[in-house]
This record gives sequence, structure tokens and C-alpha cells, in this order.
Amino acid sequence: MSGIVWLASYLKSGNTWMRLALASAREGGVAVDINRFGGGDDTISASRRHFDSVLDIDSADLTASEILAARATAYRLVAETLGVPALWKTHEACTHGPDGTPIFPASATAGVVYIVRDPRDVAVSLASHVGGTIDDVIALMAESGRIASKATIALPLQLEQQIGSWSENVESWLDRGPCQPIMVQYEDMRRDMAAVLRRVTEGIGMPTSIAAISAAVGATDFKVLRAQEEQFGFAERPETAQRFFRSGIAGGWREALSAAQVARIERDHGTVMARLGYL
Amino acid sequence: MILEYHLCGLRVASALALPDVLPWSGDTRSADIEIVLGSVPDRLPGATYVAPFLQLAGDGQARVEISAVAAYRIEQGRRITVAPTPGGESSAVALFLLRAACGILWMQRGLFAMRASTVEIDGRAVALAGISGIGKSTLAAALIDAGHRLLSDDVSVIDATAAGGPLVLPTAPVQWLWRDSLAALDIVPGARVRSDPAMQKFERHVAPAFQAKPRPLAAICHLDRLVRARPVIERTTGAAALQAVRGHALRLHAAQKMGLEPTVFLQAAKIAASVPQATLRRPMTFDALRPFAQALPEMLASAGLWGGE
Repeated sequence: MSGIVWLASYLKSGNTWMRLALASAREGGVAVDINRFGGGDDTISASRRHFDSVLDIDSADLTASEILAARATAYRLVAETLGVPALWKTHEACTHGPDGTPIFPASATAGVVYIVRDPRDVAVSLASHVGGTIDDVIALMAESGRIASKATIALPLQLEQQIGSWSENVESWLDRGPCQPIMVQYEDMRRDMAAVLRRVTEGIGMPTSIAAISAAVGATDFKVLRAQEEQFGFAERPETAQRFFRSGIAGGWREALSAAQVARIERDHGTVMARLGYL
Repeated sequence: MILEYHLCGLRVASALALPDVLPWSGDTRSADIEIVLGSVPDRLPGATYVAPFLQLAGDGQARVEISAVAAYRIEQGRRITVAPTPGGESSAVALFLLRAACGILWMQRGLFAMRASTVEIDGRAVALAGISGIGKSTLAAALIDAGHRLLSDDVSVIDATAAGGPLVLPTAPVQWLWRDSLAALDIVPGARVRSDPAMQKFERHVAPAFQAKPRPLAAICHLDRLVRARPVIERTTGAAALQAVRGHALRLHAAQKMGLEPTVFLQAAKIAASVPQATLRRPMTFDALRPFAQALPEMLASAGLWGGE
């Protein structure tokens, strides 16, 4: 069916990489431009521009609850216009609007790819991303119902979004999403991206080929993305981060985290980590 | 009591006070637009499109609703019926009239509404276009502080088919700015835009710095974020220029539903054919804002936007 394929994950879990690789594979394995979002109708779930456009309103004049109440309708209206499935990135937890209806409605959904990464590696990467200490980030990852992009003293380019804690984010999509998700582990992307892309493209019904996937893996190699950021910068890099594409390694937490920090993450997220095989 | 206002060069007779809009001071013509208070049905008779904020009917009527504030029925580009929500947020009724309801009204009148703040720089009307949150109003505020005059904030209404070329029709001497922009420019905030205390967005009245006369649209700058290795300003031409103007049309989705997309496309084409355009990438930090506004007139001239004058 047509509709939106949600590329969902917590922050710094490989979502941008997956999005670029799928965009490349869809076009036969072409080179990617990190500063051009996927092309076509691809975007992010909290895009203010798409919300305003499809609902014929200015979200900058609306309260957070007025926006939240209309989110699901916005996606349904978008889905009606799509000829082929569009890939939309999201870091939001799969939550509900004020009246209890899901924000990501099944009727607008063509698929879900949920990307998960060891939260100990997420902590290291996220600390660099937000320019905070690892302890601050560990606390942030444990914060239940955490909200990002709140429009209070300034108007963010993105709509307010509920990220939740790391565990809440994972479980919301795996257990209460609009459809059965295709679950991808970042560590598998590092190990064998071609195999992951084959599984994902097949799962979401994206026409591609072995050759296109192989080319897409090369076109989105970490070194390529990092070199592009070095040369041109990256529009999605926050002011707080030195660089967006940092090291990309899996298992780096062993050198970067103290025993106490590891223990805190494992205490905060042990249940979900065990479920995913990280413990 | 009926009050008379001057909005986009039109005479507006309104039963609703519009304190941000200039009073009518023109000739004795009859009103171009009537704003009345009355009931608005929950569902437009013959509605062909129903969404949370907008309904459309086959006869060209539209209904806009912000349920905590008011419902508005917009007819034939000349009449808006306003039904404030009982016990609702009365202070925002005029805001959504001017922004949401008039967005549809301009389209019904054959005018091109664009997501842009327009400022008169050295006698030339320059539209600063861009998506919500990119900093149109903030840059316009800094330009006002640098001595330039405002024609319109956030949305600019353009008569694309005016005899002498696209003409910017001034809206009202008011801006809507968030707390951080006000603080960065040392501006004292006016009234709150919405009563929700979490939303720190305020009015700024700029009557002394308002250009109330329609001005030919001299240039369009499409605002974007500054990223490394990209120029601060570069000309936008050809198909990209047409796409950029069309892309910043307000209510393009509604235009499609109303069968007005070809009209909007032709208006965008007329504007793109006669108005020079550039992409302007601004640093997003506030400390760079004032110097950027100071340097802008020179940047526009050096980019060749004044077309051989």
C-alpha cells in the first residue's frame, strides 16, 4: 500500500545513515548529498512545514496541544497524496494525542523500520551531539516522557515532539506501533549493511536490486558521509555538536564510559536491553 | 459599531475591532471587505473538504476554525463572518482573522499570499521569504531597527497582475515575535499572541516604521540557514526561481482543493519572471543578527538584485 514508512529510532542510533542508504538504494545506488533530504516526499515526522502546508494553518500561532490534536490528521492527508510510499524519519516515541488517538495512525502507515542501538553507545554519541556531559545525557535518556523542540521562548523549525526515555521510545514502537515493525540493530548495520538493506527493502516493499544495494552501501559509507560534512557542513548538525558524523563505531562505550556510568544505564534500561540482547 | 480599516489597500468595514490594523483614511468608496459577527455552522453546507482547521464548499465558501478561539466563514473574497467561541480566547480572535481567515480571503480575491516578511530597503520592497521558524520576522525586526520600513510581517500579499508589475500590498504595522528575538534586539514585548503561558510570542507595534503605500516588489530573498562552504547570498534563477515562489505560496494545499492551483501557478510564474530572487543564508545566532541586517543592503546590491539600475 502507499503511505508513510516511518524510519523510527531514538537519537544517534543510525537513523540518518539508514535514511540516506535507503534513498540511495531506491535510486539505484546513486551518490547521496547529506544536505538534501532523501528527495521526493521524504521528511521528518515533526516537520513544521509539512504540518502547516497540509493542514492550511500556521502552527506558529497554535498551542502545543492544538498541534498535537491535529498531527494524525496531517499524516492521513499526506498519505492520501502519495503515489509511492515515502520515507519519514522520526525520533518520536509512538504516542497518543490529547484525545487518546495514536499520533502515527495505521491508516497513514505503509511500514515501520525501528532502528535500535546499544544505549551505552548512544550515551557516548549523544553527549558529543548535545555538547553535554555523559552523566547529563544518561539522565536525559532516563527521563520519562521527555519532550524536545518545545516552542516556548523561540520557534523551533520542528514541532514539539515526545521522545520519551530510551526504553519508552523502543517499547512504544516495538509493542504499540501502527504496524509490526522491521527491527534493525545498529550493530548489524555496522557489521553487514548490505544484508540489513536487503531485509529492510524487502520488508517495506521498496523495489531495488542487489547491485543498487551494494552501491548504496558504498555511497553511504561512514567515511563518505563524514568527508561530506567536513567539506560542506551538515544542516542537521546542532550548534552544540562539533560534527554530526562522529565515529560511528559500535562498542566504543567500553573505553568511554566509567563503570558507574555503565551500571546506571544498565539499571535504567536493563529490561529493554536484555530483551534486545544487549545484556 | 462598524469600524473602517485599511488592509492591503482595501477598505474593510468591521464589526470586530482590529487594533493592529490602520484606520481607513482613503476615499468614500464602499467597503471592499465586510467583517461581521454572527453564527457560523459547524459544517459548511455542501462541504467538499473537511479538515481540523479548514472546510471548503463547492461554491467557493470556506470555514476556518481554531476551536478555542473562533470560527470564521469566508465568502467570495468579500465577507467574513466571525463566531467567537463562547468563553474562548477572545484576545486571539483578531489574530486568526488576519492570519488564518484572510489567508483564504486573499486567494478568493485573486491575490498571491506568500510566506514572507516584506521590508522597504533603500526605497525598494524586498520580500524575505522562508519556512516558518527560519527567521523572517526576526530579520525584518532587525532591519526595522536599522532604519528600514515594514510593509508586511510573516505573510506578504502580492497583486501579481498589477499593471506595473507585482505589487506588495501593505498589511498592518505589527510584528509577531518570540521572546528570544525580542530579547536579542532589546524590544519591549507587547501583548501576548496566545494566552497559553508556555507560548512566549508577543506583538510588536511598528507604526512609525510602517510603509502603508503599496510598493512594487523589487526582490525576493529566500531565507535559509548558513552552512559551511555555501555562499551567504546567491542568485536564484530559471525554474528554481519559479519553484521557490510557488513553494512559498501560502495555503497552496487549499488552493489545490479549491481548484485554484493553476491561478496560483500563473501568479508565481508572473512574479518569478519579473522579480529578481536570491537565496540568502543567514547565521542563526543572535549576536550575528544586527551586523547581518546592517550589511544586507550592500549584499543585495552586490548580488545584482537591482537589475541594472
